[in-house]
Amino acid sequence: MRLQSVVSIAIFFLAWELISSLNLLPRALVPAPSDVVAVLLNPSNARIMAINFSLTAMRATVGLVLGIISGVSLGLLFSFRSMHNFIQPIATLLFAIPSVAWVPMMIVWVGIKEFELPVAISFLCSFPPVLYGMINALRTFDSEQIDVAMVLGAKPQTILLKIVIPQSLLKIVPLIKAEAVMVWKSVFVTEMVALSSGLGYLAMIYATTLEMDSLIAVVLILALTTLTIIQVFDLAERKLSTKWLGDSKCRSGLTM
Amino acid sequence: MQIRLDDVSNFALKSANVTFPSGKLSVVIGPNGAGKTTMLKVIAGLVSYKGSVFFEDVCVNDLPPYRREISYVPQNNALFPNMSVRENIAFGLKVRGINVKERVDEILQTFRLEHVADKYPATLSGGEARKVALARALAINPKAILLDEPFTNLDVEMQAVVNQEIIMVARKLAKTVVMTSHSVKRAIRNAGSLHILWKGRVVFSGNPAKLDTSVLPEDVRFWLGSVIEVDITEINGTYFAEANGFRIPITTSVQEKRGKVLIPPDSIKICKRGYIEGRVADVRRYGSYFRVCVDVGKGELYIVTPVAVSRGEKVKLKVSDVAVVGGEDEV
Repeated sequence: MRLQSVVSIAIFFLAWELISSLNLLPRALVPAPSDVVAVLLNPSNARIMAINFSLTAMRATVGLVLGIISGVSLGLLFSFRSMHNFIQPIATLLFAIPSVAWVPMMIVWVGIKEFELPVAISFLCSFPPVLYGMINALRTFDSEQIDVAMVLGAKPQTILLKIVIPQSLLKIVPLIKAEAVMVWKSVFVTEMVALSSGLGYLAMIYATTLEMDSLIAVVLILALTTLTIIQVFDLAERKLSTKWLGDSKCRSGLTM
Repeated sequence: MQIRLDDVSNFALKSANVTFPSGKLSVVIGPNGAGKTTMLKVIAGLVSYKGSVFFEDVCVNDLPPYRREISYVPQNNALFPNMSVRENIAFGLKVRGINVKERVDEILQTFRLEHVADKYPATLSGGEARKVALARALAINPKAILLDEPFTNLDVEMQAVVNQEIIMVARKLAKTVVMTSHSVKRAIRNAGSLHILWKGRVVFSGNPAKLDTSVLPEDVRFWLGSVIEVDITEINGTYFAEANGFRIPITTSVQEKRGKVLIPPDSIKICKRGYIEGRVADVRRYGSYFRVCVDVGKGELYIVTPVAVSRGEKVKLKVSDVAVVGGEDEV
């Protein structure tokens, strides 16, 4: 994060603190950042939030990892030309469905289950984009590299593991980054509307009881988590891009 | 290792019969789309084909690419971008379970690549990347190396560097090298054996010194040019090809006093100040251009020109460049 970004965020919070301190807006509805920090530092609140955060994180991560593994595996399987032509329209159609649109369908199909429902939704958030990205990455893969590797004596599994998968993954890192963020948002929404645990559920409870400082604390945790995800992916992408592509610029635009 | 293609056909080749001699530099020339890359891929076993490919006298049709004991360097080098130079060179050795470290160091030293050993392909210059691709191909100690347009996208200086590396591979290491090129001049200069591919067919195969363009099909003649015998003289350090009263400067050094030069069609101009006199033997219109065959006494010159001339007309020609057939210092 650049100094400019840190300064702009600091100014935002300072202005907010000032507005709340001067009671320019009703403090009960718009608590000051210091009130939010106080909530986060309160041991009992912190414990509740940590438990619910870990639940949300687990649901999002399990679904995301399953989605990536399935997307990469099926992408490789469908990279054969005949299968590619068959599967790409389906992958494109699935990719075009907004992630949160899966929530009501999954409530009906999976049921209101504390683990299965959010995992199914986070899986559906990540699987279609990864599959779509993988198919396209493989379609545009430099076939000469495969030819050279074959002539040099590499077996198909070596070519896949050492050459094709690493390079294709680099191409889909921006997609995975965007979907990792979307997975968190979708799980959060699912917890709000259907579940009885997790950060989304907490947010809904605090909204109902008008505990605005706690509600903002939950939203802040969600925002910081997604920001961290973006930063981590950006860092990884930048390092690999610089090393492999000789390009230090981040390509996705989801940077701070 | 001698490589022989016997009646090979596929989507790009038509009954190709050609022999690439053992331990020599063979150059396959032809225009874009002639089937040059496909021919290399047939030898490597990377594309399907009908007919037979022999290594020495053994048919290798049923051998997969990794068992043919050859290396292939494509036009774009195809270096693995996720591996360092050292890892690229070591790749073929590792997958064959060969002791890597010493051989990689040896190859890095041979190609003077030690300073880029830990760099990644994206940070290499065009010439360095081509050298790494060559080094990677040689690391597995193949019996033959296939090079697809090795001088493409290189500046003149780097072409000379890569040229030297290829000569080193072909001569010092005594490897069979089969190289494609669309640069006639470079190929004809010093190919051990020359092969002209035209629309999937091999129209000439053999020693470039024996190339007689007058027997080639018309399309090939007007792409390749004409080979004529000349006397070679040196005046103040500059070499000239002389024949029938005309004198053409040669840019490369030549040892012989008599030899053959190839005059490409695009290096001949019909102009009033031309120093070669001839008579138009044949003229045909192709769109806005004319294919003109001019008899200059010592042979016929093939010219592609927008200037309209008629059969029997006397014309004066100016030649900007010639390529000496055979030599020592260039590929």
